[in-house]
Amino acid sequence: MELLDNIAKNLEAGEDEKVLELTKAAIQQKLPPQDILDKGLIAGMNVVGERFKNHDIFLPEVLLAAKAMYAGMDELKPLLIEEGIPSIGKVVIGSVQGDLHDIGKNLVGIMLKGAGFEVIDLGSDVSPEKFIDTAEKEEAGVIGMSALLTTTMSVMKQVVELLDGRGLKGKVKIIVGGAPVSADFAKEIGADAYGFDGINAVEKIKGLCGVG
Amino acid sequence: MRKIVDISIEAVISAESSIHKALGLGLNQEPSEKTASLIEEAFEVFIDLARPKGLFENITLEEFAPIYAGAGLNEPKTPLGGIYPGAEQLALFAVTLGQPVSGRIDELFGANDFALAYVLDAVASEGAELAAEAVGEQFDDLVMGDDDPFEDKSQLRYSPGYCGWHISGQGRLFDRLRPGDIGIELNSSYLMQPLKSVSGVIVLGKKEIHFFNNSFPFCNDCVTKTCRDRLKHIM
Repeated sequence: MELLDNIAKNLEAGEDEKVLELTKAAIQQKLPPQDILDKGLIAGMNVVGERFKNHDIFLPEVLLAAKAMYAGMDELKPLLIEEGIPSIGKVVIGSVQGDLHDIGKNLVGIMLKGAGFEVIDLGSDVSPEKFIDTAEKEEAGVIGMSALLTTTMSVMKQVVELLDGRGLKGKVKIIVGGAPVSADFAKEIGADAYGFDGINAVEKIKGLCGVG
Repeated sequence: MRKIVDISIEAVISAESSIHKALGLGLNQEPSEKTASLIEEAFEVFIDLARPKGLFENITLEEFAPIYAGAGLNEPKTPLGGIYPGAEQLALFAVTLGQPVSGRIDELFGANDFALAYVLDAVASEGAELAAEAVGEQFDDLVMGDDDPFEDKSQLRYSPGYCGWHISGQGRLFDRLRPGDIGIELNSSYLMQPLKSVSGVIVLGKKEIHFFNNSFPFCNDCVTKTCRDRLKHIM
């Protein structure tokens, strides 16, 4: 449908005001909220993700698109809730204890919301207990941890061990990322996945949640 | 000697090419019109809000030893552990860009203005490093004098949290240096507020003391390998 295509195209171009206007128009035309989300907003964001992966665009352009996505989502969210349309998954994210660097974690959160996930962002300097307690309380399927310092990476292992100790391993999946983190490190500590950037993290989390 | 350093705003404005690199652009890649406009806006916000300040204090090898040891959580062997005993001069340092710029980054993220927040963060991160460099230069000027031939010597900075020096080293570093005087506070996890702050030790000595093989166990986990660039810079 042309209107939904227009939403997607304007989102790709990072035109947040236009996306908001078109989303309002789609709602007024009584288009199904799920279609506006899937065929408009998420469709546009998927193209942006592909272009980023192919190095056609860089992160600032992705973030402009994300802002446009949020503009549309803010308008659409009440309808999605009203119709009982669930998010595609719930993810708890945070920078590990001893680490205040949160730019990477913020980017992952933005991309996850853009992909339709519900995100509980615990901020930075998050203790292992807080990650696990929150995931348990919120019934989240995934914990995403970020670290920038080599000296704080060990906290990620503590979270994996604590999760195991609480009998939640397998039920709650763990993904790790951040400048000093690697796929080998993720495997070594028993994490379920490693994301090398925001877009990649979303793909991996979709895999962990069995989505798309 | 303990000195609070005035750092001009000009000294912490990075080259656009550094920002391009931080944003992931290749050497010969030009940013899109939108990204170029974001960079311009980020620089304007940065110039308006950054309040760079610095501080350094000379310290002897003996005085530095317990600061380096911190809470006893360092890796058994670290580059700095082998480097600092060969230093001719040591100084603790701290720099900050002040709370307004860090606060603005948070506000922009909170307002869904992600792209500007991200570019401003990159501009501020580069700026914080330049502030540390400015303090290092003032330290050099102080200890070297104008006519002293120091061609065979070099100064590099090392910070807790990196390369096996545990972040808990911040505790004793702050006790000694008192960066609260320039507005930097340390939280219970040894992290600095404002976020765009840098602290550590300036090590001055013969160039060779800084050289090390990056074959420490923790080097396997490091993907940035910035130590190699730093060493190239002083060679």
